[in-house]
Amino acid sequence: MKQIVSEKKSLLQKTTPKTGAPLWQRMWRERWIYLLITPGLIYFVVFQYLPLLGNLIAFQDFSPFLGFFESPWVGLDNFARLFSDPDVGIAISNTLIISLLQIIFAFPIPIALAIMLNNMVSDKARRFLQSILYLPHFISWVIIISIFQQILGGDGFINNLIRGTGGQPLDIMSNPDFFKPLVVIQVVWKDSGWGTIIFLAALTAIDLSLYEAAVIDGANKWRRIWHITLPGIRSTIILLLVLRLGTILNTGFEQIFLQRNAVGAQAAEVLDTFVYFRGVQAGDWGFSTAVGLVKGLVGLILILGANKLARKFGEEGLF
Amino acid sequence: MSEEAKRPTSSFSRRRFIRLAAATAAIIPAGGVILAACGDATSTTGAATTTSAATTTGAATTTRATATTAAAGTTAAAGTTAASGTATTAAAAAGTGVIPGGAPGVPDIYKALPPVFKSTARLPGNGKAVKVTVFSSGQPTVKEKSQNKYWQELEKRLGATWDVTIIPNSSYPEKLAVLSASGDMGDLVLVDLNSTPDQNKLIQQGAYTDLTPYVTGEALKEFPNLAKFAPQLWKNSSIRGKNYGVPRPRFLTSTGTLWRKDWAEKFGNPNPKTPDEFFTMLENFTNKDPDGDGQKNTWGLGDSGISGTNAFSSLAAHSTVMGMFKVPYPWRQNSDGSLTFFIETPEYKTYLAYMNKIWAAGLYYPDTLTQTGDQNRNNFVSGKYGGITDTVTGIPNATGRRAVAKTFNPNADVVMLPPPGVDGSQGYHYGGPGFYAMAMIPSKVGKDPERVKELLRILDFFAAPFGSEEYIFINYGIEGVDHTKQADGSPVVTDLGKNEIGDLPYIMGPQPVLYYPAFPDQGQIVQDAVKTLLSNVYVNPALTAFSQTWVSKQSELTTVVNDAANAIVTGRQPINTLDKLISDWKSRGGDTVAKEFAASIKG
Repeated sequence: MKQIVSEKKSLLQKTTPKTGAPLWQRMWRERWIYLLITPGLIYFVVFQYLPLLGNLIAFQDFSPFLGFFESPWVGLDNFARLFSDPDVGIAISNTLIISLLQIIFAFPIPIALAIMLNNMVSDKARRFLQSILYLPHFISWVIIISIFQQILGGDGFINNLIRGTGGQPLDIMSNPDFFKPLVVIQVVWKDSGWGTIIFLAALTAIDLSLYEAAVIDGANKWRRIWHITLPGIRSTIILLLVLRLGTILNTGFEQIFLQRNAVGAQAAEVLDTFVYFRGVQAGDWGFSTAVGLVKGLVGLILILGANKLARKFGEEGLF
Repeated sequence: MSEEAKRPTSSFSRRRFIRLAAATAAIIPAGGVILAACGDATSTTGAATTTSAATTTGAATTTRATATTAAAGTTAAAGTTAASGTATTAAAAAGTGVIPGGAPGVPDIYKALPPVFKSTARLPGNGKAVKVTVFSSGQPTVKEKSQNKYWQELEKRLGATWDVTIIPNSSYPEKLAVLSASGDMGDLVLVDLNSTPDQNKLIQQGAYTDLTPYVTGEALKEFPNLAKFAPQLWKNSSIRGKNYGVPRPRFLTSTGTLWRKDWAEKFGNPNPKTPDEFFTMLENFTNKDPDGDGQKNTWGLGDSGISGTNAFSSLAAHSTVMGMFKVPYPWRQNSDGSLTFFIETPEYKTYLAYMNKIWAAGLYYPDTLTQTGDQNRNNFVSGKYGGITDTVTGIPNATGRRAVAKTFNPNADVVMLPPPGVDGSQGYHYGGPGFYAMAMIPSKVGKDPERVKELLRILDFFAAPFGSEEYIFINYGIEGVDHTKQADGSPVVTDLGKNEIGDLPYIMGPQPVLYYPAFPDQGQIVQDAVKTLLSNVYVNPALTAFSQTWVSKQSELTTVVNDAANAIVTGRQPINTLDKLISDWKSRGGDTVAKEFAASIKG
């Protein structure tokens, strides 16, 4: 390993002999490159890094009228409030359960879907199917919940059928026990097709000659998927899984909020709705920011941890 | 669709309930006031009315008279003498197609426009630009100024550049926060403290101009149309005794139950009077096929569970059923001056048990908790259920529930249900404060008293009373462009007019009257509804009281009550969890809120 590095170094020295020059000289030499990256740099500083400073209001009783400089500092009060709130436990546990269910059930489906699409013989049919699968992603949650309501709701298609035959209507949409599975099913329906895009791209990168060789060796379809396709996109899968872990405390707001009423807070309060009721609605921006900061920190720790784990198992990971 | 109908059902705040005790309340002079101002009318005949030449802003004004009836002992702001009795107006008595309300707070019906008069004396503006922020009332987006004759004419009449930003209702709280953070809130902001309670905090921090010196006593006379607002309106919209905004007048009623009377008539009891009768009728609606299509596809009651922010859900606080059991909502004042929150009363327990009975019997629309306000209204007008929580202003006009229900079924007869009561007497109605939202002036602008007066003159222009030249222009636009005149002289807004006027004048308006030229029967139906509802109003003792804890905890406490009450009504939790709710409410700040309100009432 060391040898390789030193070899590289010597190579570098050979091709760019003036590495020893002062920094500004080197920068001047590469000025056009620096000029080219400036717009991107400015974008990140202005829209990504400077707003990070706004997180300071997590330590304030922030009032938009008084502004950042006049609002009183309250130390860790907002964080203390978050962790002493009697409802925060339920919100965190619901959030984690829903997120884990989504990772277990909703995460693998786009992979399977992508492999199925990839194995389709007819290009035309595949494109057609792909378009159809992408569509639900562009429908807003309000509409999707309505559609589910139209089918499964108390006045929905199924219950009206039952009522028409004189039966007792089923309680599906407003049953707290069904809430979490329903949320996962809705996510699967909405976003599985969209999720295939990256996997499909990864699939095209697999060398076709591998399949040919496998066919010649007598591998059947399943063997080919198991030994060629899946290992071929393994790094992509792990990459997305690591990223997904980083957002484990985000369940999405609208989908849950719209259905929370029907099943109650015990089953459906997640961190996002919790913040909405405690912070946003009451104009308590300091508190909302504090929760956001905690979520961000937890996400960062999870990403770093998962990344490390991935590297340990010989994967490339994120960085 | 009126904004009241969009307002969260069953919402409450300290200002949403008006004291209507006959002895203490000054009466909002129903629309009739204005007619007296009309010089041509024989404006002296009304027995109960005193018409005085209140030329408040000098000789130039053509507002000749301001007739205000008020309960004995209260002096009306416009300087008229108080008169006891009814709100019969001079013009009403003169018989010019007006059906007087006949009782305090009941609006008059106008069959036709009264003779035109001018209500403002001078050009309101000083030629400068006025930046206005309002939330949308659901009107179509207005056309650009350069292609909008109404807008151009409005600026001419205002004497100011009228820069209006119209924000969708749902994103208004965020928009207000961003505006105040930017330090440039413009000149006029429309604020509904019920849906943006965080603005209370900003008011306390001095973000808005204290208008008290401008709108009390002699100073108010400078604004003749604002001076016509009932004194009670100014009181109800005040915060800790100070007026931070100009209230937009509305009826004194809040939500009740809009009711399919034609369904109820089929079962022989159009107005159920007791809880049992009411329950039986809901059973009939659900099980006995009121729409006669041979299918079991109707329910007794329906509502929207996605109510607005900071509002009690329809299940947690159904206004009609609560009124039926005479729940002291939202506060009961005890003999020692302390306050009890409604959920702590035995009446509320009875209420919850009854609601649970309705739900368990399947008489409530099963998707109530997840449907939006629009879905709810659509389901009601299309005949899915017989009752919906709504205001009287949800009834009239072409877009109102009554007319729309008739497009689905010509026999549909949508009226306000006279409140049933537990002992057969009429149930409570939880009255409103008589206004909806306030026009407020940011403190930055308020440093210049002349500018404040200019802005108030502009609001005064928009508050031009019904029938005035300004009113007709503001609401109907330019004749031949925005409206056409029918044979009987009534203006009808054209499609172009709808897109030109929109919410441009939404910032302020006069006391509403009942004038529905296209629907001759609607005025009477609304008037009867208001009259019935106001005949037994529960007075919120904390209406104008203030509690800092309530301002900061309202959202959390409301959510806690909603969650627990929804669970009890729908049977997810047994009724004895009410005890846990009460202790939860108290420990989370409800106790402090009650104490602060009580202290605020004592003064």
